[in-house]
Amino acid sequence: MKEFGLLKLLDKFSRVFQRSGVDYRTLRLILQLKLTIDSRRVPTAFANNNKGNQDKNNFKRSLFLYTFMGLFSGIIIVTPLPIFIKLNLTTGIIIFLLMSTMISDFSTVLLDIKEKNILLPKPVDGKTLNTAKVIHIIYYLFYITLALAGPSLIIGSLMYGVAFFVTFLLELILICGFVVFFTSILYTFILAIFDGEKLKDIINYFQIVLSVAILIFYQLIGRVFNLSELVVVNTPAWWHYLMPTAWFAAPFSLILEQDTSAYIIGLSIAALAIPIVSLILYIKLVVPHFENNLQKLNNSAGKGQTDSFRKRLHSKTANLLCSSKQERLFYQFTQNIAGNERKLKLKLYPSLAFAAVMPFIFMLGAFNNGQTIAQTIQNISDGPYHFGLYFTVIMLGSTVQLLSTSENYRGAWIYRTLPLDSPVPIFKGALKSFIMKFIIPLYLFTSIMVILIAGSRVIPDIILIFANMMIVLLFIFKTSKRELPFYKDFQFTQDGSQAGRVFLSFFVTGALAGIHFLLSMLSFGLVANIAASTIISVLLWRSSFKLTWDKVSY
Amino acid sequence: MNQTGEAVIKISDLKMRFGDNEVLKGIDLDIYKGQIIGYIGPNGAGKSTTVKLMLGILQGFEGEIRIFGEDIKNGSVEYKRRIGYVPESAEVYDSLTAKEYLTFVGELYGIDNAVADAKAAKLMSLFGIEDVYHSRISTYSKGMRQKLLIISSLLHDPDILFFDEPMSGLDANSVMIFKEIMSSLAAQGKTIFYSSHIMDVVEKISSRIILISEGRIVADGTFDQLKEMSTEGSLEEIFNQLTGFNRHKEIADEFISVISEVQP
Repeated sequence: MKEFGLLKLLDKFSRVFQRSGVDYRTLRLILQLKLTIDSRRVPTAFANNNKGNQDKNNFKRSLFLYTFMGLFSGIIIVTPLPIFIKLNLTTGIIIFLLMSTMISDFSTVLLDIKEKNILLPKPVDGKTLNTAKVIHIIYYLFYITLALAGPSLIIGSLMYGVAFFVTFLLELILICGFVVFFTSILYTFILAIFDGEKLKDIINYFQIVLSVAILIFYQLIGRVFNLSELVVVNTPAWWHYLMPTAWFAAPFSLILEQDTSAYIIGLSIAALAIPIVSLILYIKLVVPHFENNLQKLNNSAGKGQTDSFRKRLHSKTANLLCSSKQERLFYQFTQNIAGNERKLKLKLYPSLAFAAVMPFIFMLGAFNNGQTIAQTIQNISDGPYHFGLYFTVIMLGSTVQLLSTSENYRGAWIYRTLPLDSPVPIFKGALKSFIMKFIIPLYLFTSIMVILIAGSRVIPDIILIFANMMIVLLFIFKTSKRELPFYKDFQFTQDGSQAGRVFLSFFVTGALAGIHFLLSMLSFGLVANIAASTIISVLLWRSSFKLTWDKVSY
Repeated sequence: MNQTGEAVIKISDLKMRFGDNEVLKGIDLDIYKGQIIGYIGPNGAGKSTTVKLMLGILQGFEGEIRIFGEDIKNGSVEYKRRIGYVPESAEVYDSLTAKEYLTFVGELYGIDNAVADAKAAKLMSLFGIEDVYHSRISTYSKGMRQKLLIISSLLHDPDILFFDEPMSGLDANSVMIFKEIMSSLAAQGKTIFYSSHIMDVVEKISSRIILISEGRIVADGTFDQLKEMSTEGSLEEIFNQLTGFNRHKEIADEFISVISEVQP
């Protein structure tokens, strides 16, 4: 196995590790193994190989993505707000994005049990193993932190000089450590209190909620320019001491503005002390207990639940919507898997939640200073803000691609052994099920909220947007590779061709929205548009399902 | 079988529970050098739990487990250097080559990299798979993986071996080689824990058979001793009798009749 730079760096600290009870030689070996495996992340196994060599670059690509996101926090530094406020927002973005990455991408690493079965029978103790895992995570997290914070670092240094650079860099290390330790401690508590299947569910929901919160928060940050007129004076309040962003923002006030008030100094001390405290807590609490409690993830003594009412309801709708028995079977099948599989939910639910929330964030643009709530609502009902629903359309459309993914993608061999002469019922059943289970309820919910705010005059628009959404959905479906549902593994990060399709769907959605807007100004424009869109979507539906087995990837 | 000296493994009143479920209800066991223990029992009886506890993969048991005279609860992992394990689930790091994996394992056990490499290469060639020494394990067939696992469990010349269905996937020739290896190891004074559901193999190779059922040991002795305990002839039948199972014909008949029912 190759040598890695990280290992050489760690060698310098080998005595520190030894003294704290970690077997350095073993630690080094395990880390070397993990890094080697990472550099060879095996591509998903399917016949068409245009994804062949991309996995080495996947991580680098995701770094680009993170840098792009980091640009927003960088831009904040340029605004004319007080340093404390700006850095609060900047570090806020960085911390939230880091935590979401930590939770969604690295949870699997942190909570991996399979590895224990390979390594524990060897003379490796739990402490060494856990340390190896954490170092591994911190290593990647640091790269990601640099990518996220890079823009801010550069912009800030250009504006404020070397002092900024040094402080920020040091803080990045502290922030990184803080995020890792904090998340691990959180997980330890969850693991200690709950167990088995319940635990996995809780972790899953936790992940989903946090991802959603992050998405929303991130969007709100984008509105900071609207709100900047409101937030000018910063009066120290006691609850500021609880905000991690405040801790990390304070040293900048201290160093760059020479603000030596007790408030700022207190917060700066927190910035240094709290990561160290969490490191100590980590060593005391997590390291001894984490690995033991992890075993709980293996024990599933749960009894199944039979929710018969829902099942009856589902089977009735299945009967209504599906034309053949086979189709109905796949409808049911999709309902079951999509409803139960955690990993799929983790990928899907945040997008759904985001889709629901987008229109309202769009509506925030209606807020002009100095108006009352009633006036703002009047703004919204008169204005085109309900077009925010098109964002919902985009988000929902892109979720269709998740249908071909599953954690247990290896189970897809079963498709090949079934006596089906056409793959059409599979696709039809699955797509219908997906639409019924996720798309329609979400759209209904969101549009009702919009109607409540904007008034009933937008109802025809809502109907039109629904028809247009079907068009976008089918468009994405039709242009995707024809892959059977639940047939491939999740990509470690986003992959190129998917992104391309998403951009294309942006254009289509934009075009449809544009047409909608123009036609809405004519007297019968809307009705005509609804008719046209409905016809187009029906035609698209028909043509999407002209499939035979040889056109399908499986 | 001669039982000379100290017990290599000494288990006293071992109990283990998962939540409300008491999986092991008080196991007492003394294992000596040179014994090949056929460790058998129905599914869920507690076989793999016992093994995992001994290996330190699971924690939280009551009672005492002493390996090489040391209480494993004291947290030291030194005893693991002298243990080899072939798990049933055949988990390996697929994306590595055999060379990388075996040298990694060897180094974990404290063997020098070059020494481990040489040993591993030779063992691979003895098993007939030297061609794939530098290929990724993900490309291996089931039989090749199994051979790799066996090698990885023996590379460091351990004194105790835990084999769980070690011959699954091996062809008849390799099976014969493996059986020979096991009896030579035992003759050298190594101890082997052999767990399997294939009764005729267990019957032939074990010097001592331990049957565990519902968390307790229900039989412990040589095959001949067991035959005296029960009225049956083969180990399979003894197993059935001692675990209170005699409905196999009934169940099989019902199974067939359900399958061949006319579709409504």
